[in-house]
Amino acid sequence: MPGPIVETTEDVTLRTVEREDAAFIQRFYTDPWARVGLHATSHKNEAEVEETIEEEFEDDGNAAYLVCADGEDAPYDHPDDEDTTPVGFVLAVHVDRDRPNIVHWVAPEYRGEGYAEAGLELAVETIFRTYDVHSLSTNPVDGDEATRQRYESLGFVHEGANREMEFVEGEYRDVHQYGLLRREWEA
Amino acid sequence: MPGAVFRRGDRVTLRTVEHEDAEFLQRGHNDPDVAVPLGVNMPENESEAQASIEDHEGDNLNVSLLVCLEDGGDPTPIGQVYLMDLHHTRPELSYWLLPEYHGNGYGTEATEVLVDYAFNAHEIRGLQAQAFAPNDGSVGVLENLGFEHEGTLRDARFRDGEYVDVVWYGLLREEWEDAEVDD
Repeated sequence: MPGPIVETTEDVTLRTVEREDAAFIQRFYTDPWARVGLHATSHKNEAEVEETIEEEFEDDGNAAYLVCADGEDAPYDHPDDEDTTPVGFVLAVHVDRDRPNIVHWVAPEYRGEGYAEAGLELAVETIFRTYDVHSLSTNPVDGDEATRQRYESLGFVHEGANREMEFVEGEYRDVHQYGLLRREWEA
Repeated sequence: MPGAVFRRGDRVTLRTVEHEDAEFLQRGHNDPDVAVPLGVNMPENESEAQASIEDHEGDNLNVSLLVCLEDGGDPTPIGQVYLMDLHHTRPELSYWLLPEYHGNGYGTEATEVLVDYAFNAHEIRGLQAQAFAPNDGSVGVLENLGFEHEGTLRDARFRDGEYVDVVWYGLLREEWEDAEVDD
């Protein structure tokens, strides 16, 4: 079950990722396209994901947000099952350095409802407001067009492509490099 | 004193890093002409240099070797080459030479020996390397070896008082093989 609210809008809420959210986050690691974003070539079991939450998501250098669809009376504090539904997550790695890298994922059954767009936009805004980073980067795999378009619509600029960088779905795929500078976001 | 010869070029050798090389590595890692272009922004004392050598022992995913000149006597270490993340589809390489040895083609030669080792010994798809712009020396080495420019990340790192672009280069196995035939 997610923790308290970090940021919220009318469309979507970002809550803290708790260790008991491992079962939900685990589904990211069974998505062959998505997990590449965290250099995970294999799926993980729940115990491995709990360890990843502890070591990566909870690291002070990283920022993790659970993207949630809150009910009308959902509390700011710890919600109950009926108050909110986790639909995805956003993870920014190295928010303590010049250029954090961002990964986002929405569970298949919640796609097409705008949660990915709204969650990602709110996370980007939150990161620029919270951390003194100069820019953000992201690395979608070639063929994952929906993800690329989502970043492009937020203003991320295509800066290059590393050829055949990852092995996904039976073949080597290019990995795209995108960047968004703070001044571009604020403009 | 560097250890055994691991690979040999025409003029340089790549030798194993021994505990007593901490002083040499420390000198390179603290020299601003080496460290700033590499993105190293913290001082390193001898015990940290020693610890980093020990941390690499038994590490099968990263390779670190000393670039040496040979004149029949003791080898003279002049720099270092690394391969990082050998479990990745395209591991990353990097290298540095002490400033007084720049401009003689030693960097290109040492890196070529490392690239040949990487493709011959490991079933990797390709290699990659990054440099801060402007770093003409470093980019020149990559272009000499047939690396393709794959992207320029704008304002991606803070170094030497300002945000600078990071340029990415890549070399795929068949490009390396073609270059070998040309040789």
